[in-house]
Amino acid sequence: MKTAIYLTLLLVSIAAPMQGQDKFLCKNGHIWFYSETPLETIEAHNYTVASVLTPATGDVVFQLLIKSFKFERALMEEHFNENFMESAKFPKSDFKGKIVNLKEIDFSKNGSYKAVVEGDLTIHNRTNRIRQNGTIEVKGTAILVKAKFDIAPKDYDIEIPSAVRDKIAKTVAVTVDMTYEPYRK
Amino acid sequence: MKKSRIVLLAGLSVIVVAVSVGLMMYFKPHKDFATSTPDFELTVGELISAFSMDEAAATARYVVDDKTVLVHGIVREIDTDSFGNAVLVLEQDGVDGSVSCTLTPKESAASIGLRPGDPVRIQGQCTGMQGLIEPEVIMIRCARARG
Repeated sequence: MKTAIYLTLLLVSIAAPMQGQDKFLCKNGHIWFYSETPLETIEAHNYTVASVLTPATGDVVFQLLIKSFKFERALMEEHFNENFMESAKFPKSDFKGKIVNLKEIDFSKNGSYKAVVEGDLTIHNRTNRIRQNGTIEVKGTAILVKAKFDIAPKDYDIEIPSAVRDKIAKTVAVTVDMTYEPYRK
Repeated sequence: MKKSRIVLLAGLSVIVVAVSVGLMMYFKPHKDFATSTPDFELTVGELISAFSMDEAAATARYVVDDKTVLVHGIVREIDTDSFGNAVLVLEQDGVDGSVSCTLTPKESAASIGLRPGDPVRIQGQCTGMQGLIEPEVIMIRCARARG
């Protein structure tokens, strides 16, 4: 009986820290986009992106608020929210997907790994299946995720009025920069 | 001759006014949420429950049209975003969730004295609620409320 109790305690003490590191959380992630045409360069940054990464399964979820994108010019920010993204109607954007080459990433060993992520990206209430490459860096207890890809506004039913069409690129370059820490609660 | 001059002058003034209005709009500054008079003043619990109960209504009320929101709460933790701005995570006893307030660069430096457990009043721009781990209302361009 005593042995059973000790064994249980031992198992619990081993399992507990591992369980605590099941999920990794990033609360202040940075996603920004860049559009360049001869007429205008547009850049906007969002520093309040939330994301959860589960190394054991490769599940990754992102969520951000459209209104958190900050532009240099107030007028651009207004147009982005009111005319293009309709943020009053569709306040959020999210991504739900999986790391598909999970076997090639050793989350227990420091280093930089190439990652391929596939999943559903929802912007402006329109969902598209996407597959993108990025890098995952394991650094002590932290996991750093970086990715860069292009998005075409028309794929997400974002209509650009003809008056400003020449000022906005056909594809917008999106950069993702996240730092995850083990989630404890 | 005289009439055509008047027409020309009138035309020119219209163009000058239109261009100035256009330039003023193009270069208009961002609203200063740190110093503007708050449109709403509420507790962490009230703000979270407004979004939890009816997100669309709360978005229309607190997010649309760049309202200044002032929120009262207790500092749970102080983070830093990758830009270097301080992020105050506010909570309230007995309330599930938090309000995350990213301070302006100027205010970030001024927040150094703050500690978890301190009661604060923060005003800024509310951008909505996220909910991956817990209900989390997001505020940006924030400052400690004066007065």
